[in-house]
Amino acid sequence: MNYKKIKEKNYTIHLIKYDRFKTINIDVYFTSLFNHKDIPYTNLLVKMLTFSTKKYNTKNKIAIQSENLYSAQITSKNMVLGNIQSTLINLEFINPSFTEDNMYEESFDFLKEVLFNPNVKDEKFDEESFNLNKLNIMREVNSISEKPNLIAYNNFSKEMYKGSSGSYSLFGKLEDYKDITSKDLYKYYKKFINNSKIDIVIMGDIDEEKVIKLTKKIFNKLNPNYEEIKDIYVKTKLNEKTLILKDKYNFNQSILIMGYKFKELTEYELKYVLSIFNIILGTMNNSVLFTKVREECSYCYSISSFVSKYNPSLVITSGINRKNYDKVVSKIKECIKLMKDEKFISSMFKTAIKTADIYLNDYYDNIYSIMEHYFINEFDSEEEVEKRREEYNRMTPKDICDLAKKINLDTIYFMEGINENN
Amino acid sequence: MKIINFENIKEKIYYEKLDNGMEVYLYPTNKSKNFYASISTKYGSSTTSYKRGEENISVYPGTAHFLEHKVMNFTTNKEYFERMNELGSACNAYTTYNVTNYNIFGSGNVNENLNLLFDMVMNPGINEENVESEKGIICEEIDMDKDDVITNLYIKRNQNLFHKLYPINHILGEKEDINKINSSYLKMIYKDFYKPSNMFIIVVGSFILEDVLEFIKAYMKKVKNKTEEKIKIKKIKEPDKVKVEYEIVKKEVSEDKVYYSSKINKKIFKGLSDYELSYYLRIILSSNFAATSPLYEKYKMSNLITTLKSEFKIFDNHLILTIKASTPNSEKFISNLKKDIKNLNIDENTFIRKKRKILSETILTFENIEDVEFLITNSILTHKKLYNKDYDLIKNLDYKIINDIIKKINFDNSSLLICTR
Repeated sequence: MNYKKIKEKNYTIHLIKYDRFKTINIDVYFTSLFNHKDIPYTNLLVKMLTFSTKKYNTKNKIAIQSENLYSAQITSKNMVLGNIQSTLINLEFINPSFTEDNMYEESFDFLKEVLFNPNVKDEKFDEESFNLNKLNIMREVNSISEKPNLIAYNNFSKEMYKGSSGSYSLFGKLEDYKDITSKDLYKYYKKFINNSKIDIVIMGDIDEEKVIKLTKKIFNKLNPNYEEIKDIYVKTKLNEKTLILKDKYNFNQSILIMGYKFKELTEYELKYVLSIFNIILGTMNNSVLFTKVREECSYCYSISSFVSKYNPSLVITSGINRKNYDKVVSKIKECIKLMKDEKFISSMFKTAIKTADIYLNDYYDNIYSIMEHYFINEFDSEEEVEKRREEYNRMTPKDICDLAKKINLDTIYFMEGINENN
Repeated sequence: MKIINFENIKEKIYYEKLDNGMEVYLYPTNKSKNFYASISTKYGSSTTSYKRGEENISVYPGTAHFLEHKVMNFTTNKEYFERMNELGSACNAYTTYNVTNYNIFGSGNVNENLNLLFDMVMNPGINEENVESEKGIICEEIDMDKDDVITNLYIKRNQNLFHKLYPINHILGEKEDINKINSSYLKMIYKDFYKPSNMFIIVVGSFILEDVLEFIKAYMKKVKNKTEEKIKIKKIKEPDKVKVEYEIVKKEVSEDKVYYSSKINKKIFKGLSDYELSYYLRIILSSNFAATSPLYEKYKMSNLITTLKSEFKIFDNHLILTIKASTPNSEKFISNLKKDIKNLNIDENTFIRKKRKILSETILTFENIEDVEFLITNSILTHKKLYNKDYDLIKNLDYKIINDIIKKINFDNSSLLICTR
């Protein structure tokens, strides 16, 4: 795998030449500082851009063109990472060496059409498509009420991450969409194009010269002027007292979420120790939570943890029977206590490092992780995989226990399922 | 060792049938630094009753899945798991209608990982105590599934289409079924279905072919088929007519969901294998209901659908076609769909474009080692062997045949399920 960064005046190209995959992927990232008011706009915008363009002015035509390009896929994603928000438009197509030579040009043209030739007339998006997409998005937001895990996580994060990007649902709220017009959205599109930092990450067994030429042809006209992003990391505020929230919903299963924050993590802890801590606690086969809560007590079917690096925190989620609430909470607290026990951690440590080793190997098989790594490094100093492996191998059980001493239970959220079958 | 070539995409898979009947499929590649291995039994929740010798045995719904939990038991098999964990490997299992699959994913030490996986699957520690304690976990899983609207509608759809065939049961079973299960019953099912002649092994990814094959052969030499008694799965005679033609279910949904299904005896497609028929059906459904279709465009632009999906599945002798939609106006959508479904069609250009789409998906099958394992498993369950002629089969799909199939498809014998608030 060879990486090359080409810094142009208005954008940055990241080329990753890698013959592991038969596809070529182009990720275009539009990044700016997080602003919760943008959530409904970015959600609507990516729907509109991938729904139709001036040339392919219906969903039908755009889908047919995708298939003509040997099933090229245009996808989009809105992300929030700490203090930044980023919209990703991805084009994936089969390497033209397996199809036809002109597929390079045709695929890049298709991407250009989607990004820069939206279905706009008189300074507004096509009204009919806009109304339809707006309605569909509002229906999607409404449908969250059918998904217990999402309801629970949204309710939890609203309190746990109050005052930071993490407290906002990426779906937005219904009322946020109501007053947006097709004209407003086009105004936002212009701002989006002109005020975002633009990164283009291209990966595959690529013809470098051709790819650079085609990329420049699309992006050279841009002249974005964006606010510099100084720090992607959110400064965490610690609650002195644990916040306990309880809701009742008409579901069979109850959901328990426990959120932890940390006191003054060092850069080393944040970059490396936190990952291994999480592997031991809640992701490896015999993680502490899995063994103690599920296997030894049969309190739940699922239990796991995840960490947020840019909004430093650790979250434990579990699907439980409502009768077991007190027992599960106290068992989880015991598990966290165990993380401070160096003898206990030593017994699991080697396994955790080996698990991390496999996760790192998996990186080479995962198109999205590789591409995202080079994008993220525009804002962070994430090490290459092999460097990360070295650091993990240098780590000791004491590092894990030291981090465990900094953990603080911030929020407990319990969504009680009160369906009578329960 | 036999080589199964996938010529047009320059890939090959190695195959060997061992003396005890176990089949082995190996795909070594340096594309990945990891390996993925599985051992499967061709036994899943579709077995609702069977005959061993002269004895008739009924199977409780949820048994295959319960057995999966007990075979892959993290508490009883502690030492296996501790070692797997030391190796950093991740193991998992799943149960479908036709298969129970145990798999392990890791990096390096392939033979030791296989040894642990085989030890666990071939020597499960099923006992009364651990069977009882597992019931709580399975009941939690059932509750979790019951909160999922889509899973519920899928089962309901099956219960309306079929009178007695296996899809009417939930793979997990119901809580009352789970409570009837005990350890001696599970041991009996295990003995009848977890025998080498009913199982297969797949290893894909980074490993040395000869080493792994030699290891598997040596291990399996000591694994005999525990019973020679013939197991015969009872075939259930399912009537052609759908059981329930129309049903409305009430759920807390944000908008109506519609499942419109047709039940067709597949004998009308005589001369076509299930595999060929499946490729044609993929193209027919995609051309008529996917985002590229005029019908999708019409429904979308007239605000009749939020989502529109189509699917088919072959259950024994019956083909089930389902059109699923999330809709703001179910009445109007259904009335339109019932008319439009009588006019399924495909033009030649669309046919060529769809063939190109499926071909590109075939080229990409070998990108990911887990996908290769899935391809092999799926092929064994569908064809009873690994099928390697997809590329040619797709290239040779015929425009005349697809039109003949379209003419035979109808929704005269259909079931309509509406989920509303």
